[in-house]
Amino acid sequence: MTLIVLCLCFMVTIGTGDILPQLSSEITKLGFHREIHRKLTFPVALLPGLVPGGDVECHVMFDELIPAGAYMDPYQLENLRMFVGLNVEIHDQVDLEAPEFQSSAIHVSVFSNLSLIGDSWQAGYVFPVHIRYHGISDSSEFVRVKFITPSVAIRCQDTTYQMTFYGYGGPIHSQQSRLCSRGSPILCDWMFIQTEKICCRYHKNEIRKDF
Amino acid sequence: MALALRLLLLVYGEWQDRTMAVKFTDIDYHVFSDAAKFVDQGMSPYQRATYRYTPLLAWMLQPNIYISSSFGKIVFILLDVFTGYLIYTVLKMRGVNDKTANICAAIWLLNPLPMTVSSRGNAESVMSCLVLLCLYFIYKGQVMWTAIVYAIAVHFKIYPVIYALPIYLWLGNSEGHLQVSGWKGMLIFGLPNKGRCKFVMTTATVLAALTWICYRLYGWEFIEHTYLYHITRRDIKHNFSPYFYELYLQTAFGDSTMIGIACFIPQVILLLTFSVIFYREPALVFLLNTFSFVTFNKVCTSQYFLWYLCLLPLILPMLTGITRLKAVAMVTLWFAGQGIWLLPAYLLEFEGMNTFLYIWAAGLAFFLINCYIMHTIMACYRPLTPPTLSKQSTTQSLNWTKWNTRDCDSKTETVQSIDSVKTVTRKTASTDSKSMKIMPKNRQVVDNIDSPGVKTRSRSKPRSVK
Repeated sequence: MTLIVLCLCFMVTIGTGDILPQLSSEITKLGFHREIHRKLTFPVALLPGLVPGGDVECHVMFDELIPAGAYMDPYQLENLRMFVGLNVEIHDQVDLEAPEFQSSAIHVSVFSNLSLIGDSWQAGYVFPVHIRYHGISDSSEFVRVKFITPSVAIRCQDTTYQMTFYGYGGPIHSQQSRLCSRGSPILCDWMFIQTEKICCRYHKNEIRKDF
Repeated sequence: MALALRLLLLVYGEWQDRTMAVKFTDIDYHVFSDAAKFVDQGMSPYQRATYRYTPLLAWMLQPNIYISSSFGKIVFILLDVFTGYLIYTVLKMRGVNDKTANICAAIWLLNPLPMTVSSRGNAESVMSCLVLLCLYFIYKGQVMWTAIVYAIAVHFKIYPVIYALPIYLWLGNSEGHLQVSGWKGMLIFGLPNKGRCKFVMTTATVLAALTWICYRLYGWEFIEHTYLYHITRRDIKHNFSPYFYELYLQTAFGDSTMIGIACFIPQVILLLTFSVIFYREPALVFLLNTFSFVTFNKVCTSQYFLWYLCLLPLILPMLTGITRLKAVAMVTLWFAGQGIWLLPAYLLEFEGMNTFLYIWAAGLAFFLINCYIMHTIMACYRPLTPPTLSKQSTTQSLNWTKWNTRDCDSKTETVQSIDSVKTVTRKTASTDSKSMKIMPKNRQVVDNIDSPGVKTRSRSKPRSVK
């Protein structure tokens, strides 16, 4: 008998003198069906070449690793893609029915565009996750399902010259060739960037009775 | 009107799907439609995850791609309405008057549950239609068509295999009843005759042909997803089954094969018992077999209830031994049983509360309620045509009276029946101490049903048996 406490693990990494985009995370709802909210905020100074209506376009990719204790429903995501424009690429096979002890983590990429809100660029999404049945336990009624903060990558393109724009002003982890967008066969250069993780928020299932 | 209501629901469903995040259409319908797309592209329908049905279904829904995505729903709705027509027809064939037959058909046609199920795109109406069609041909005496429809039903879903034995027994001797003299008589009765051979051979041929065609096209994954998955399925997630919690706890100990096999034993015992005792009433034995199969199954979800709900209207006119109050009480109990399960299930799934024990306890309560309902049906069932009996026969027959008078509300009828039985026993007693017991031949309440059972009970008058 297990229930779940969900927690978003986070690290705070702030480089001396560096301005970092802020990544906030939140899990909402209760029970076996949750929603993960992510919001990334770029100060305008980090993207000096990006102006509304300009020649430069920037896109963000969030690399999520869904733990074995949870899963995303590909068919639900397809529905959300058509209904709310959520672009998610699932890189692994998903068994919708398997329990946690017969499952493994799922690698997922979420693609999002940047929107100017106030004096910052923002990208974000909400995606549903479902918790799997876990093995029984003699020692505890709850099990912890950890959702690791995603890696964030950005790519910018000059639409006039159809060239990659390397104007990002913040610290970069690495550069990788990955899919340009969901379902795209074309690879693009993505820059994986450092982010400042804003303290996470989680919901703990209330224990109503001891068994 | 039933068709209009269903089409209206269909239109509403299309609107809801387009405008709301919560969809009206059943998730299974998308599974069928996606599988149909794969077939259209020359691929296997099993490329679609969770498609665990016959390829026939994906083939049937090909027009979803070329005509309209709602084509499949319209098919399911038409089959659902046709099921209601079959209920009416079968009852008329059995001698039920027009008004009662209409009421019983309306119980299905205007029932919001099957109405919603078919409008949402669930394929259960295919099974309801096939099972009712099978019963129709049984009562018509058309063995070959019975076998063909039966084979298609088994191909679609395995569970109709539980009707094999009662159909086989039904196709017995010309008097259609079991005359036994110990085990020897039972064995002789079980021997094949022309009708039985025809049924078995035709069923086997049609089933084998369908299986072979699908296997040739899709290989082992057809067998695995269409048949083996359902047999070996061990769902540890919460459901109505009294076994679910045991199976969940068993996951800590690895292999639960023996428990899975042990779970089949009560089902098998009940199926055999009901088949042997009630085979003379095909509608009743179909209902009891399905009811017990679902109730005692390792996995029990709401979808399975339709398997026996479509058969219930066929026996309602024969439940003359039940009072209206008791009937209402049973329906209320059945819904209440689901309600007391749904609450802790909701709290577990959507609130994350630890309600596993409550869910299991509620599942046990629902299990007991279903057992009580089955018992009441058996106790209060009065066949329209009592089983005939050879005048020369002095061998023991099945104790029909014992089954359907004990524990029923109709105390008066019970007394009448027993008096009648005694009369018959005196007249026909032989040196065999186990004398025959039959239902009275000329019971008015049985022969002139003009409303569902409860009304006529008060007007019945005992008659002596000649």
